[in-house]
Amino acid sequence: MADDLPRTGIASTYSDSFQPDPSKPGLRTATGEHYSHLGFTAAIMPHARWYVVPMGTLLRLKSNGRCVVVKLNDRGGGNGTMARVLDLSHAAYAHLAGVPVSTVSDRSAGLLTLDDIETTPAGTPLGPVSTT
Amino acid sequence: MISANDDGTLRWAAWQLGAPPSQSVRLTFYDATHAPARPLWSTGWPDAYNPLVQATSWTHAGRPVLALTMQFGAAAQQVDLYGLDAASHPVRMAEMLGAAVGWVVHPDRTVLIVYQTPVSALVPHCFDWQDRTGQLAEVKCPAQ
Repeated sequence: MADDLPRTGIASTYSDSFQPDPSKPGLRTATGEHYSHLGFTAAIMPHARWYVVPMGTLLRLKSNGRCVVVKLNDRGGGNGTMARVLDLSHAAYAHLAGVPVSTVSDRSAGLLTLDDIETTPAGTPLGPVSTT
Repeated sequence: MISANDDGTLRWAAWQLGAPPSQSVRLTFYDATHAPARPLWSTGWPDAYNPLVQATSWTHAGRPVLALTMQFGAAAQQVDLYGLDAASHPVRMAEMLGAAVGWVVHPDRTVLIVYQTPVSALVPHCFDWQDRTGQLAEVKCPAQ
């Protein structure tokens, strides 16, 4: 069982299949919200890390010189390794990857290295954070 | 609710308690010979939701294997397999967690599909039950 949220790690994004029709809500997350590709949310993984921070915690993530704040509202199955820490919504992934959200799909998505993962106070606005 | 024996006196039932984010799943094995039904065994999973029990065509010691699937997140679905021992006590025989779980059911064959996400896309891994060893064995996924 993991004890702490790691300061760095690997992330990817939700499969297209978790919200196949963008005009309809996606599958229900661990907090009861419906997953949306356009939200700024994340799922924590693997199973051994599910309880290191409470659901609803806000996380500030940095990658490739870009920064985004997401709400942790889901648990993920992971890929069998401890290196993979988060799956991000398409919008959060797109910002960190520096691509338009409309281009994020199962065919285009890869793995992102998160250079910094830290909790941020409740009330922090979700979404991109200016790094200038 | 699923019968565990031919006359339907032994049954499995699973249900969800509570509402998000404080939900949980219970699985109970009970004797329905007389009303009210008498619980014989029970277990539970905090934070799980959307439970589904289904009988499979797989068998353990000559009795059907029960599959319980439940979610822990949009992309975290678990399947647990249960059988009964010679004294009709529940035995958990396997547990697998993936991004999603599915089944392929043919008249002569049932295959469990556990989807993993090495990156973003769902990648299927297929399993068949080996009653001789009491384990799931990974098999080639059937064409769909």
